Amino acid sequence: MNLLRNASIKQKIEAIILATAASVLLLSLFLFMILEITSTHDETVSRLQTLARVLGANSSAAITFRDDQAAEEILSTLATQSDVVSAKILNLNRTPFAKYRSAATAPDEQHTDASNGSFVLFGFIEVEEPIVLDDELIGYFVIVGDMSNAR
Amino acid sequence: MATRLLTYISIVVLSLFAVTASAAQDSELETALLKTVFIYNFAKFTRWPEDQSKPTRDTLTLCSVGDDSITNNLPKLAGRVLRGKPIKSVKISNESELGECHVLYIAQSTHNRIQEILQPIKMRPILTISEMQQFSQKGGMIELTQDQEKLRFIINLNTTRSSGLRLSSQLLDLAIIIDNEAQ
Repeated sequence: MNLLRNASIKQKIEAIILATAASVLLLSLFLFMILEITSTHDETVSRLQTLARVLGANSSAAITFRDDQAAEEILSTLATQSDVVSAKILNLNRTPFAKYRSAATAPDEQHTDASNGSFVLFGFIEVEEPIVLDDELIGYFVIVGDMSNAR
Repeated sequence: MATRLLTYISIVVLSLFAVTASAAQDSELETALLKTVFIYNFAKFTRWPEDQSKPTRDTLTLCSVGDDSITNNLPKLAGRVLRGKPIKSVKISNESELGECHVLYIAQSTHNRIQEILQPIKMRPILTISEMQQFSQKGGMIELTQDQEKLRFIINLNTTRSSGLRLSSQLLDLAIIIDNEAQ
């Protein structure tokens, strides 16, 4: 404020306009970043949910016929998805039936009770989808993605 | 003293025998139950032709011929709903009743008259299942087989295809396939 004490009214008005513009610009940048992060997060969640739903549906025979090898083969197709760090198929009693872990570093085992939900922990996002066959719940598909690309 | 010792040993041996026999019986019951669940699941992954008579369209009939632990378990599935249809369990005593079946489980006890059972329903949309050896090569569709600890199944694709039934690709992925036509 001391700087503007001896300034002319014109300079003061210019300074106010400049400060306002800078604040608006900073606020916009901040909002844009938030929006971008949220949007990337939503996109990743949506993509992981689709993957979980499709692979879950494809695993229904392997689950019903208790073929863990076939289930692991289905999970291994996730190797093509660079941002998927781990995945697992859970039985109805939530015990792991088949697991997948990417060759890259995967986070430690994480547990969530949030069915149909997702959560982010240290840059990793976990999505869980129920596996339903003929209107009957037969298990859960859990997939963990790496959000580092979004950061 | 010796008599008392002998009595104790006899009691211990008998108890051990009883426990082992009971465990074996439990395991057999469990396997039979698992096989019954497999039969139910086969129906889940099968599509029947649409052009069926009304009673056949409204229910899903699980039939069984012969007598074994699986035929005793199948009635437990009655009343369950599979793809919107209630399951009806029928124990076949007369081969003329086979027409209303969607799924037919053939027990090993009918081994001697397997052709008599399969011949009249050949080319009909009835999913035939058995754990009889070589069943899939004798004109049956799904043969249950034990592979070490695991329960596996062999599917005769040619027989299934010619009957008008459509099996899910997921089911075929898990099966050992016999395809006479392709050979």
